[in-house]
Amino acid sequence: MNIVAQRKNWFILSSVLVVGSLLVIVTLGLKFGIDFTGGSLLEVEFTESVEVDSVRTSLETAGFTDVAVQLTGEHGVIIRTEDLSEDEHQTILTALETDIGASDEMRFDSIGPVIGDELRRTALLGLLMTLVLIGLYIAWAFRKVSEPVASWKYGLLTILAAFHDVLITIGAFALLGHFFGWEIGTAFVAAMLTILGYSINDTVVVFDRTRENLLRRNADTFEETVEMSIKQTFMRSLNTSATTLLALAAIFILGGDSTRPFALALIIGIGVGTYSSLFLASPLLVQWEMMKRK
Amino acid sequence: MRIAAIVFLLATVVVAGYDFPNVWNNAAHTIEDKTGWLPMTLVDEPFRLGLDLQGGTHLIYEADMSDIPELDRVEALEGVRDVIERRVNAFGVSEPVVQTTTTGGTYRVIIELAGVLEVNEAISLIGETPVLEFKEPGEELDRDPTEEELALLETTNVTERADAQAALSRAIAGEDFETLVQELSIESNIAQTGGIIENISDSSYYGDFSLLINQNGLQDGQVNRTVLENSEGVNIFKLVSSSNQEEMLLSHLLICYEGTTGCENGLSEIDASNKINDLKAQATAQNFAELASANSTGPSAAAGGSLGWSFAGNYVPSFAIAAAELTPGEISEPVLTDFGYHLIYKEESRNTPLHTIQRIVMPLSDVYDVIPGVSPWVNTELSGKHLERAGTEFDHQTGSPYVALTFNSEGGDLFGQLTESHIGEPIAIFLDGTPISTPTVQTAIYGGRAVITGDFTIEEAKLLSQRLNAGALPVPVNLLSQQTIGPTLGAISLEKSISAALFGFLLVALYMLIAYRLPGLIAVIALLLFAFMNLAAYRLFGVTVTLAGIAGFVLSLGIAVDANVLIIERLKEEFESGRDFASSVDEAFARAWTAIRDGNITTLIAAGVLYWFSSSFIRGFAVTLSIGVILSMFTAITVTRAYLKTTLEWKKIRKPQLFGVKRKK
Repeated sequence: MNIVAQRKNWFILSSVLVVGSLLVIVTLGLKFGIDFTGGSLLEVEFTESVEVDSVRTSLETAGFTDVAVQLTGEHGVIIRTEDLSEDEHQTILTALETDIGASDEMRFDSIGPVIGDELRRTALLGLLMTLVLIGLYIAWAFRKVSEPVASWKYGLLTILAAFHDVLITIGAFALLGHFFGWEIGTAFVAAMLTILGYSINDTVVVFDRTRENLLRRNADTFEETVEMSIKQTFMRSLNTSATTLLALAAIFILGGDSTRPFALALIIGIGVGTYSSLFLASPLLVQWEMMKRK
Repeated sequence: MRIAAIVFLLATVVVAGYDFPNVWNNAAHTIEDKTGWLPMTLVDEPFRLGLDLQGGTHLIYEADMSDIPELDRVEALEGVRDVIERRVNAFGVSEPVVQTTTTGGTYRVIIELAGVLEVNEAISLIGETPVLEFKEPGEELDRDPTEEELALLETTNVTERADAQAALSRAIAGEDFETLVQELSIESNIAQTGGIIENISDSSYYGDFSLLINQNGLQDGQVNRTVLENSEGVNIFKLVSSSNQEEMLLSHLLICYEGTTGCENGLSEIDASNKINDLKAQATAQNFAELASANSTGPSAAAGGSLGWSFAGNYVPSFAIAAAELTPGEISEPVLTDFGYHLIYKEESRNTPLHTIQRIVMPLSDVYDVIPGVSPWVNTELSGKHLERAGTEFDHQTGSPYVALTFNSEGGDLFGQLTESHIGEPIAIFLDGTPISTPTVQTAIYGGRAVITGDFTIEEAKLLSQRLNAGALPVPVNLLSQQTIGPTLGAISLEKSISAALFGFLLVALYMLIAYRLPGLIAVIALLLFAFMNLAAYRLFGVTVTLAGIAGFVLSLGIAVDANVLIIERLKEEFESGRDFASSVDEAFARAWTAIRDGNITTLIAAGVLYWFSSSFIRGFAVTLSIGVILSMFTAITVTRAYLKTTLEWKKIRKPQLFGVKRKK
């Protein structure tokens, strides 16, 4: 299989994934967690089994009508409301205790709208900053290889590939949010940043080999050099991703509910990242050079 | 290399022992049982767990700085932090975290309390402002009077007024006024004064009497035909004598000099004298006010030097004599007093009658006399803000605890005045509106120390002094967000994440063994040291291990072997191209380094940005991931290399199949 020669296929596949993600994000929207929107989340574990309706009735009697109640297992519920003051929080706990029975408060988060706005802003800023910083670093790291490709092109393509990975992961979470109610919070943003940082690993490995082969002049044309580099690094790219994905799989399977979405976001992002570094970044480099020569 | 390899292997055991001291100690004791020799044991100190793993609450407060000038805000925020810190310490939480952040014009305090079950209590404690007040005897209504009480007051007053009228009739009828004073007046000091008040003018404190006298044209010795009601009661009075005195409307201009009372301008006496002569030469009736405003060092400068209408007797003698000698419209020569040099301008003068009266004060009830629930205490200027610190001390005789207070200098002065004027009387110390102690003042207390005695248990006394120490918040705070994790969920999360970490390690190790055989095994042994080194780093740097932090650790296990993968792949490649084992290893490390470096640095950049923007829970991920990435570069380059080279010294092991390599013929 000649990866570079078949680059049209990869470009189509990536375009479909990217456009699909964008469509899903725009049409379904993203389901943001309370750390971005502001609001309260109360998780309670009762000693007796519990039903959504009884919890809802109890809350309505206590004066809380705008609530979302979700069961977790047989005894537990997660209650989402607008952000509560400490007094309101205690009112709810008392109401549940009287109406339904003894319970153990697993967690309570109440995020004011100010904090929510701020986190959204900083998260976006963080993503942009990471992209820019990593791009600059790659351009610097490849500064000695300016023939036949300028070093800033490596940087730009690395960023483009990473951005592609992140976008597809967000698209996947738009679907997960729509169908399974998975939320996007600060942990998700942490996953995005990590994907940016890590998926570049693989791209760097391929580009590094390209850089080396270009210096050694191991092949006749630029296209052949790139194809040779991909072939040489194919196994190690797969293996590095495989070990990382295995570690993440352990978190996904055993890490519990709180870290599961986080682990899945990383799995998707790093999986896509491996694909993009082998099948997207290098072929794009070749395509760019061909276009320039025409 | 061989030595390095042995050192690293030993390090693996030692670092593991450091990470899990109880395992180390158990092993040490087993050795002791078998050999009688006890190796060094370690203090079994647990890892510092985040709130999400041990349960606890994370609170963000915003300080309302709208009333604080921009420049003082940071200081005010520090004040808030100190107060909250003291309050939180009073709550007895282990290692509470209280931090401040000031980004984008917001002033916040972030509080982390581990293992607090009663979060609502903590929240109310943090937001609460204890009010400490010092009160003196007096009357202060704590409620409005009822209709009944008002009616009672009215009937009482009717009787009292009738009594006063009767007394007035007796005085008018010619009974001896002196006798009546002694018989009826409720003034406390009539034995000494006989009810006489001298030199009353219309503008003096007893001006009401003077007004009545002038209005009624009372003659000396005559009793006023009506009574006069004031806050003291119902007054019956007679005019004893009248005299006319000159009342003057004066302005003055003062130049003080070094050494005169209250002077701060630093002029010498000569300079002040020259200046006053200078001003005298310029001064006219028309420009006097202007000159006074511009030059006078007296407090009246603001009013153009005007002192208003007054009598000579109200001024210091040399000033009074000079003023009396002036004719209206005249300005005096410089006059020297204890305050400095004056120029006096007499604007006008008039003759004003001064009266001496004798009076009988009869009772007249007011609202305080009919409401039983009147607080017998009124506020003084002294309050909790004058408190420097409070501490719990014990009475030497009885052993009962009391709270000792130390005031700041202003508070010390106020407390001195308060005690001085209330010797023999009680004063009250109020906390949050309730009297907690009402000591009777034995002597005036100077020097700013006081004690609150009361029926305290030791705990109560301690709590009180802690609360007093905490003092009032300098600005109001609002709770912006709260994240609380119950201890049950924390324990579940901890258990799950530990098993995830172990399972993650096993999966990665297994994969490496299958994919790379012998070098894979070597990488796994190196990975073991890597894992233990990470845990050791958490201990050494006091990293708080959160749920996300453990995820970061597991992820870094996956990333750490990446470097090994790159090196081993490169090794195979070099070996296949015909190099011997030893030089292949060197070449592999040299060539793989740039890719390892670049890949890890980009991950570090992402982790750095994440650390910068995230809050505590996620920040743990950034920290453990960064530590993992940095350590992985070390283990991949040094540890794996030492192991590989040492292994390859053993000739029998140099079999291509163990390395998964097909050697080109």
